[in-house]
Amino acid sequence: MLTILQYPDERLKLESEPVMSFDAELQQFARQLEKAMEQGPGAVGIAAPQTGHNIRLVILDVPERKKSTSHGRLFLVNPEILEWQGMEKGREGCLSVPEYTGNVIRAKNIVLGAQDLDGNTCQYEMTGYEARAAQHEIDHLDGFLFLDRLVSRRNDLYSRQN
Amino acid sequence: MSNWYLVTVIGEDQPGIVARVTRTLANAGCHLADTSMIQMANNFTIMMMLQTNSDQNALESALSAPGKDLGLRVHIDTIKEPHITTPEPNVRVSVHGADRAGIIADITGILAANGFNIIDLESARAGRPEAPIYILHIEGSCIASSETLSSQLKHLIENGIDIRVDELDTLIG
Repeated sequence: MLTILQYPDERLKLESEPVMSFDAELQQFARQLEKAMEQGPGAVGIAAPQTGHNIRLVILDVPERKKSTSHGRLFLVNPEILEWQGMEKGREGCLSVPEYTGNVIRAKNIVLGAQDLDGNTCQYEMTGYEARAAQHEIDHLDGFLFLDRLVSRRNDLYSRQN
Repeated sequence: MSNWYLVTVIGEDQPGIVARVTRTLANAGCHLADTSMIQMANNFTIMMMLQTNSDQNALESALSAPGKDLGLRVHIDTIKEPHITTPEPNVRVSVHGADRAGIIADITGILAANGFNIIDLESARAGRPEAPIYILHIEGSCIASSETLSSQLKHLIENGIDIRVDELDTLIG
């Protein structure tokens, strides 16, 4: 059973290593990470380093919602954001930062490249909430938390949508 | 530490108010919780929750020197121990328009009638002096849908105020 690290645990600030072997060990770890995500209250994603395993693996699971794409449950190995477009403010919290939420600016649309658990390359176009979740999780791989990206109460950005 | 206080400090703005006040409190053994510290034109305002073993008289006495030196007015209220859980806003109302008296009252009156609980409100008067504008952002929790709130605010929109109601969908990752 994996344990979710909580800030200020220094291990959350480490940069994670690329996954090189797409073996049974990776598959098994991915299943354990999935269980850890399912036990987090209302989590729509998790990153391996949140459990103290510094490898570039995240899981996303964004249900259908307005103004967002939803690709279902995705296991993303070595994910990379290839393109960004637009900006949007949204409220975020984190399994690793209990009892606090805050506003963060993220790209509204992204193109994401990754590998699956078998090492096949894949690409996804994501919008809105799903794009936000991907950026939040990929940040973990680089040792960033949403706390590093909070926008101030007064000087934030309200985008005009019409 | 058994006593909780909400301390309000207001005075003419100058550099160093926060540093002096918070150093005084730290040296007096106070532990700060949530605070709001903000410049309002040429004034500076501080509201802070703090926990201490001292009583109110000791707190007043500790703050009297910085208060006198920096021209600050200090007010202390006893409060209950706050819950650590952050209240979660689920609706944001963003407003801007030509300034007139009563904008906040009109909007928050409608929100209150819908059971909207304000968690955070900030507003500013801006624009040219001869044509001031008003900007207002409210975040809060409300059971009524954003569509319901929007339709009830519609007559204000028709009278020239731009109002946007957004549902806040907090992401946990």
